[in-house]
Amino acid sequence: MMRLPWPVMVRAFAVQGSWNYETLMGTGFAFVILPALRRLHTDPAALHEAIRRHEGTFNSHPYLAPLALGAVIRMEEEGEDPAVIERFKAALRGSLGTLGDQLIWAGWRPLCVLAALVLLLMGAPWWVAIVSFLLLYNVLHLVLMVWGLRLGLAGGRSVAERLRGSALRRLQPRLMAAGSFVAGVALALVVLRGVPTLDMRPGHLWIPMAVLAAAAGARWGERARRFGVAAVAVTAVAGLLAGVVT
Amino acid sequence: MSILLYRVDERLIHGQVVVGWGGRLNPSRIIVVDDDLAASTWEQELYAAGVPSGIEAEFRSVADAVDGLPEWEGSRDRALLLTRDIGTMSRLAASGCLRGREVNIGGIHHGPGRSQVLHYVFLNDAERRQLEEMARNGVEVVARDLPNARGVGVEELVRTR
Amino acid sequence: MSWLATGLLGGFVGLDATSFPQIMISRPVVAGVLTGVLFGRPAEGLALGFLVEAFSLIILPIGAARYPESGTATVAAAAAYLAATPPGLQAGALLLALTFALGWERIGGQTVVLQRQINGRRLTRGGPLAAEVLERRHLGAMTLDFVRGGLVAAIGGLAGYGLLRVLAPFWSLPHPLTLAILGIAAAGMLGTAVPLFGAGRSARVSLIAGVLVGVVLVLAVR
Repeated sequence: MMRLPWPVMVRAFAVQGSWNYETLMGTGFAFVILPALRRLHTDPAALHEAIRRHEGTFNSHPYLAPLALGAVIRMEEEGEDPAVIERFKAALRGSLGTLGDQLIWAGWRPLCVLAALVLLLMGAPWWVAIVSFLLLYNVLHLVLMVWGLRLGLAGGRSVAERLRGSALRRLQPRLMAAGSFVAGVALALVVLRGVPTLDMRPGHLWIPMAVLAAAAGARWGERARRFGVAAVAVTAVAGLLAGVVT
Repeated sequence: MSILLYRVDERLIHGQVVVGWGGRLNPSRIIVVDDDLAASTWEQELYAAGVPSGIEAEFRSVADAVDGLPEWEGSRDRALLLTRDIGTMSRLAASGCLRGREVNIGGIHHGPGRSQVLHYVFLNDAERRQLEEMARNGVEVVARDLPNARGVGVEELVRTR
Repeated sequence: MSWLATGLLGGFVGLDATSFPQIMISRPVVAGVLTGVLFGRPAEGLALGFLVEAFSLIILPIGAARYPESGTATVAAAAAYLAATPPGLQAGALLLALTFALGWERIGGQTVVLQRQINGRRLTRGGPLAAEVLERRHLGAMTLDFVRGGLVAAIGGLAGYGLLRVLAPFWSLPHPLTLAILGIAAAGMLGTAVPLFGAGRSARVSLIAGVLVGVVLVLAVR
């Protein structure tokens, strides 16, 4: 079992700390890989040269950045041609972004949030919902980061082959199905029981209205959100105006 | 027509393309046109690692693409065509096969000699000329990172320096 | 005192959203509860956090696209609501606070864009940086992000507090009706989570299975 470079692992949580439109995650990548480069290059001039090569454009999903970092550390250790490392980073960044966007931003995160909301809709105390959300969500967050760093260190330039054979690719469709399922539970609960966090008892018109609203949200998605924001704002203005007038 | 999107994006296959545009257009095929990549399998492997199951990625040279385009456009597959630089797309346009199509500028980032035009578009002078040339070749050039974003036309792209 | 604490919490929440460590205390439902705990009224912080969360489900931070910053806006709106109202759920003030959060999150999003432009100037202009300079400026950027989040939350909190103090007394819709409107809005926004998980056959089957399980759960709990 290989030794994990802990300084890199810890810094990896801050890989987006200097995110910018010029190099995206690039300067963050250099910041994270720096301890590994320091170990590799004791000569200041060589370190200088190495770190400069890594400040250019890079991007990834933040939780999958350790995979690229691991692979690049491995390639640096093996003395790979800098031009190849550069092409490697360019080729990998889109893939890690795509995988992470689908897996985490459009999968795991809304799934965990909805699970917490389901707990709240069932009347669970706030701390149960919040603590279980943070624990559940961050288990995969942590596992993914450590796993990625290991996979990268082991795979080096051919990390993509290992990635293709990994459980990660099979996880995504399951997350999507689980997400749909939890969304269904949440909608059934909100329609039948109202919203306990608002301390409201559903009246007799509640069920048809809630079904209508939920169906509109499901059908129109982002457009429904824009409509919802406008509706809340209009209600706010109307509720105030009526008070000013009377 | 079954090429649903022509896009220039340095990052090629990534979240905005697969989740953002893919979610809207539901493609079954992604065609990357690039002479270097068409000849480099280890890089193809990396670029294709993020493609979701149900979508096939392929890498073609410009010459292949010019030959293949009429067939792809007539086929029933739903495809996205990507290049990673404006130069490659303008070579496709120069062959006349993009006449009447819209080309989406999705992401060209900071680099030597480039200046910022939009948050996601940085251009150098040669690229500005290539965009204008594409427009003269009958292509409608529109910068738009995501389907819901505001489109920015070629005049605005080449004007800002 | 509580505004200083609001600023600190806002700093951590703003930092968590992108810079460090992304453990999701920046989710509105968490940020709302934390603000509530700060003011000794977690249930009311949760009430607002739940609503903003429902509105945030469909917003995905994909690529370099801009997006509203819901976390700091939730801290601001919850602090404003908690400071301006006596204990006990005030439906009108809650609806106004939600409206404020949905506007303030766009301001917060703008400050993120500004932060990223400053990062670009500090870290990329004038060629690559030496190791020590890079380290210092990276940590500097994170510090700035913390301060930014704190200011967005504290200034938003104070502005929202002022607005609520002035406006909330004019609220005229009945309490139960106002709550019902908020509930319907929440139901609609929960619906927006459905398309996130795809539109295919397996998504539909899973969704229906979820609805059935939900119905059974309700019957079992009753």
